[in-house]
Amino acid sequence: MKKINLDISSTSYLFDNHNIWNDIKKEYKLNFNDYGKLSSQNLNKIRNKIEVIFFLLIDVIDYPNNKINQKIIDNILNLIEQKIISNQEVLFFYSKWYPKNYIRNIKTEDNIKKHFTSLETKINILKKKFTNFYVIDLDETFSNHGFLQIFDNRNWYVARCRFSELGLKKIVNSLSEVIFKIKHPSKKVLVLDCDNTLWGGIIGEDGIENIKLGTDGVGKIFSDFQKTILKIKKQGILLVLASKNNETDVIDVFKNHKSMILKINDITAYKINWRSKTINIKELANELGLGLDSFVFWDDNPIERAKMIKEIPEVTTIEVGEDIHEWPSKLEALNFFVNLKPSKEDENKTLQYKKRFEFISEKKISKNEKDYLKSIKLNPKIIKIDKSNISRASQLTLKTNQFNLRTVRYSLSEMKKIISNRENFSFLVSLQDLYGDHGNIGLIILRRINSKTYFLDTFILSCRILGRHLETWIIKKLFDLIEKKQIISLVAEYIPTKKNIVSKDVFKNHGFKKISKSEIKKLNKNTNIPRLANGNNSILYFCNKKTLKLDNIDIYEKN
Amino acid sequence: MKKIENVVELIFKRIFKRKKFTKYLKVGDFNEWDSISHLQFLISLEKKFKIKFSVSEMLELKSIKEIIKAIKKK
Repeated sequence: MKKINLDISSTSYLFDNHNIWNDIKKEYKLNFNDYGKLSSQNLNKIRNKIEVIFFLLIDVIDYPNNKINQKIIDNILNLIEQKIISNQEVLFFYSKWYPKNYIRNIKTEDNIKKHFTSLETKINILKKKFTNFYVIDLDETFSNHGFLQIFDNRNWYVARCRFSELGLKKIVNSLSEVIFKIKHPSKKVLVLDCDNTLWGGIIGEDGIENIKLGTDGVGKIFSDFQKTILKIKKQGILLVLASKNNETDVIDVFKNHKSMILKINDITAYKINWRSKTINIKELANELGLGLDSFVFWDDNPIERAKMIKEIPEVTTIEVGEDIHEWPSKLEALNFFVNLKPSKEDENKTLQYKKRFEFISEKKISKNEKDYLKSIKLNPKIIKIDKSNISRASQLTLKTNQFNLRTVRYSLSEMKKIISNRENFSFLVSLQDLYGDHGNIGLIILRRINSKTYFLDTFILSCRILGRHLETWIIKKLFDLIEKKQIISLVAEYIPTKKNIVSKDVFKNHGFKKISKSEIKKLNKNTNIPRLANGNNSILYFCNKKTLKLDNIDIYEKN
Repeated sequence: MKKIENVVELIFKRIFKRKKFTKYLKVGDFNEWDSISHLQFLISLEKKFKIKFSVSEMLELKSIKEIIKAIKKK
């Protein structure tokens, strides 16, 4: 492709041979006009050309009279109008900084300011009227660094350049950012995680009453973050949720949490389930009929982000950082969503796409996901329960709601009793991977039914490591371990609660078979463990090594 | 004070991409060393030595010998 020509004019020298310009020279063909001459140069149409004007107020001030030279201003306006009409793209960068005495201005009106306001007004009218005219107020980026750092009087007297090296760098950055925005389409979709992204805490664990959202403390940050998201939505960006959660829990927050800024109608589409987010986003792209390159992904979890970057590099994954107090301004500062050529359709987009969106479910684990999981070097370990970690074991039964097959809670003293009973067999599971040490995140408690059978009393995994198929590894280990004790089969129970739907199919997926009613009666007669299959919808399973199914165990096999 | 000379030589070679360096070189001795690259050279030296040349120094310093002398004074 041919390089775009940039025709650059400026009211003062811009050090055009300085190596600061080197990077931008690689991408565009730069032509610098003699500085100070803003009169119309070549108005003949060159294709692929962008006109760039740098206007520094300080260059046109008539000092002794403390006013702006009106002639120069008229010239500039003329020039801009000519160029706009010739249908070229015109970028007008300006700075209205000049040395001031703010104490003097306390009582007197600053003439220069007054004069310049009239020029600014005219320019702003033009920028609204013509789509090919872009106005960039450099002071907005300069003020972040401080004007005294940006301007350099020494360079002015030595070389007729107003800027310091930092100042030059900033204008070059700004120029390449603006041109990039003009030439590249903006992003269309913001994909959001829910837990610890839209609110503090985990809805499936903490419950709707305890998540952090509202007017004080950390909750205020999440509220402000949601406000910024809503602002972006109003600019025509589609909001989409990708969350590992029970759908009903999340929808409940949207509908019933009083401090939610975002409402369910603001969301174009969502995938709230326990599958990989990469699969979910690919499906969303399909269903919305948008390219993956128009998606921006915001998730507090570095593992989800790394996975997205690795598996779908087309999606723009934001390095959100750990300082959530920076999130609202960080989101606001993202250039990806800025559309320099907006249309009226944008405002109705949410609705249009919403109609298009349909929920399709899919259960297969993709090859990509498997490769990813293999690559993060998952390293689980069986941990014996002792004094040092027994409180963690109890805590797991008390706090875990999602991957908890029976949701039986054990206090510390109850847990001590269980461990000291030799009939029982219990252990914790720890996990390490490339992202760090997750600590003890799993708990198994087995109770003896008879000389050949154990009952799986407790099977818990902490929600922060779900999606890694660790349950498959644990079930395999379980059978390896009980085999040594000459026990060949397991009875297991799933007791459904509002929150543990995620673990509903675990036994079925691993080859466990449902137990018939008559067998349950028999079991309940012959054992001293609590009555089984007592509650509503509780399901009992039976499994031995022969019927065991371990589909994804290869993730944990070391090569 | 051999060190200052060495640093000046290093920066000189980086900016002008030349292999030869003597104290007697001055602005205009070769095409690449014009008034603009001269400023760039002086600004790079300022950054390295954490000094600041005055306007008149920037306008008057022309040869490597003068530049080194000026840096030593700072």
